[in-house]
Amino acid sequence: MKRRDFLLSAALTGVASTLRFDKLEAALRNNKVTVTSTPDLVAVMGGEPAVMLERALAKFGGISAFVKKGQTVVIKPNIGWDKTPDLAANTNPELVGAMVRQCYAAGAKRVEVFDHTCNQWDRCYADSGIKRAVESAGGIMIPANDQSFYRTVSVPQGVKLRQTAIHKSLLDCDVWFNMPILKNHGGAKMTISMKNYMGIVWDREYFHKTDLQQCIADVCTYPKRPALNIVDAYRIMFKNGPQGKSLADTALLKTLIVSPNIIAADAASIKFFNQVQSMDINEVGHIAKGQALNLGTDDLSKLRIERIKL
Amino acid sequence: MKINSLKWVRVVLACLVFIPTILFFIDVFHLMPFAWKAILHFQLVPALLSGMWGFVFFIFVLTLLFGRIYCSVICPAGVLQDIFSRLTAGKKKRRQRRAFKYSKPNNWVRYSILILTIGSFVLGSGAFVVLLDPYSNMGRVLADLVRPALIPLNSFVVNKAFAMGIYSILPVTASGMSIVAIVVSSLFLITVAVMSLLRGRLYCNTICPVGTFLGLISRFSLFRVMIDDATCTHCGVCAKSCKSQCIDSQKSAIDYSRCVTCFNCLTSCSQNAVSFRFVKIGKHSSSVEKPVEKAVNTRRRQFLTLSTTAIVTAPFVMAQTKKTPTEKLPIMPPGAGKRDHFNMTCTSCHACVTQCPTNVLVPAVFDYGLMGLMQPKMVYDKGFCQPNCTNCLDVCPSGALTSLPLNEKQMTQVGMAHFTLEECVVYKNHTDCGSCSEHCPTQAVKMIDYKNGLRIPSVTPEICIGCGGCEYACPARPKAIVVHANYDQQWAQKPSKGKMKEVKVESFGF
Repeated sequence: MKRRDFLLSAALTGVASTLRFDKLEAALRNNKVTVTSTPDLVAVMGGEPAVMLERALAKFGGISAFVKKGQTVVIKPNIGWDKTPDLAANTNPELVGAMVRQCYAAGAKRVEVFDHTCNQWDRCYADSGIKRAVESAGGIMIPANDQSFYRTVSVPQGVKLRQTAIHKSLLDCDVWFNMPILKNHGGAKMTISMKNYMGIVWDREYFHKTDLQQCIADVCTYPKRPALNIVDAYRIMFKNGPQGKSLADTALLKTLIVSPNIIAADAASIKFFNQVQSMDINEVGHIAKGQALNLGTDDLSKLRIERIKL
Repeated sequence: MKINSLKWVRVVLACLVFIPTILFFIDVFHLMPFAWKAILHFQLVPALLSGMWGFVFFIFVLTLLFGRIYCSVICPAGVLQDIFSRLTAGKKKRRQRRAFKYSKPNNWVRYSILILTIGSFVLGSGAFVVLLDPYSNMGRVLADLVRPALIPLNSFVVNKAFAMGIYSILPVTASGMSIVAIVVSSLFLITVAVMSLLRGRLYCNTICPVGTFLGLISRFSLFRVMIDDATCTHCGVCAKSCKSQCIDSQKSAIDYSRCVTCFNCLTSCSQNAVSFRFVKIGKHSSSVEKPVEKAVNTRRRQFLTLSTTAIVTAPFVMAQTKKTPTEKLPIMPPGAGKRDHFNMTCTSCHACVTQCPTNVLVPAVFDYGLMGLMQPKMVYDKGFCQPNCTNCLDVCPSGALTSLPLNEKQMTQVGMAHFTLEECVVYKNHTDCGSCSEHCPTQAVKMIDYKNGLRIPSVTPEICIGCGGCEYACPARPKAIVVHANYDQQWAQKPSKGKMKEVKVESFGF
């Protein structure tokens, strides 16, 4: 082999290795979307959590489009705080319970629920009402308060977060659902689907000291993506988030926003949120950074959106 | 064979108190309901300190009636010594061979220690109470030696259970270790073990101030072990069975100040000369040991002990009055109230340390000064004080921590957050953070507009309760936000709740 050929092929290999097929994948997914004519985003308003969930899932072809018989499913709500459901610090327990039932109805072998909480974990699980809702639906609450529950994985597309320890339940399951609650956040500005990822990792301190917004976007690029992002906006927290002080920080809006596209879910949620409290989407840095990493689009005009009012 | 029924009643009762008391400290599997904490209130020194006069009176009457039942049944350190001697004595035949023999009381030592303990406490130093209270020593042995050793067992079982898909057993993490507490409790354990193996209840009758104090009362107890002079052959069998070494068989006399009413001697006598019965007041003379010291001698000794007490304790009292700057003051657990009260009342039994779910409470070294040795302080390395938790206040048996309703505990200001801008991630790196504010339950730490769309923490000290959420969560090193202790605990102001906003949303907004 001539030296020139060798260098050329080496250079070509180098160039080829930098290619990313995300867009291609996304395009393929879009193709599939048009073929089966399911929407990119479904928003439901005016019902109880379980009803809204049922209606939203129906638009995507029902839960069986995501959960197959015998699969292990993980649902990741926000259970960060030792607060009662009316304070809107944690995902609505009825919604989580309804999702567990949906998964079992689709033939799931087991449904596991966890969050790396900020307050004492067993108190959060209990006082949020989520433990009871999940267990009465046959789901299993998994602790996440110890490093032994986590396994370090690499985040190939991460800019500043190249590797992190993620909860084993999530790493080992067949399919997972991201189920945040829509809240204002003092540090990250908003906490919705992307910020909810911080409850699957062990070392959050790294996020905060490195570059919070970039790390949030980075962790969302981990190849095992949620099947759906189900944003609970039944009761939202519009100020003093993420913990809130009192009922005065919350607003009862009875809405649910569901999308497989994490950026779209969060962008739509912020637009919805702006009707209660103004929040510039550009200040929520992880949304733009996520787009730069091809996680999705916040241009809702390009998406097929279903709006349902009950 | 004679059945010593009184002894077995004693053993069963002792187990009923001992097992839950022990379990409470080392229960890493959460087998015992939290409400059983009441068992800790059966201990004399904590009851005295917390002013539970009803129980103190009960113990007084019990001792006056039946002697030092307390030492045989309620005191966990006493029962532990019995277990030590029992375990090493082995089978019955060997136990019979292993004989105690009568020994003279170490009056000089035991009364000095008692006077020193009470005297120094009256003069304002609880150091001797902390070091000598048998219950607190036992608590530290369990909390600082046994419990940490059981935590790996918990991890092992939890891991096995999780592997099998069982998630009902909760993982427990180790709390902060304190070298001083480990050393002191090891010393206590070794002392008690050696003394009980060699000389039965020597510790209780020489060093323990509670034992000595109860001995002063039990001298006059109405029911007591009596040796019938008429039938006694002075064979010495009863003395061999006496772990308090207080039966003088030659004189058929028993030193009731040292008898712990274990009833072991009752069935030892082949002549049935030993019995436990009611003795009329005034008929004590035959059995009470005559005071050997002359009156003049006693008074001189009293003078000497008192003056020694004063000299020894003076430095403690003086050390206590020196106020250290607040950054270096240890943070007292909520409910402690005034620092002086806390330092005087806490016996460092570490019941609170074992019950803290987030391992915030750790035994202090010399942070509180010599007098607050091993008393619990709040450290926010591994966690922060949970807003909805009142475990430490609920469990404290000595009244060092006053039990408060949850809403009052949530307003108790143990310290205040101090923010250093130059260390903050937002200032240094120009990236978002907000970890401190996120963890703040009262929003005393609030994110305010900074620059370029960033926000930076700002502290409202009046509504801060010092729970340490901010300090724990701060990713900066050194920490940009830390809690400084209040000298005495204060009430925080109520954070404004804000007005309910009437929100009507009709459309999705997209």
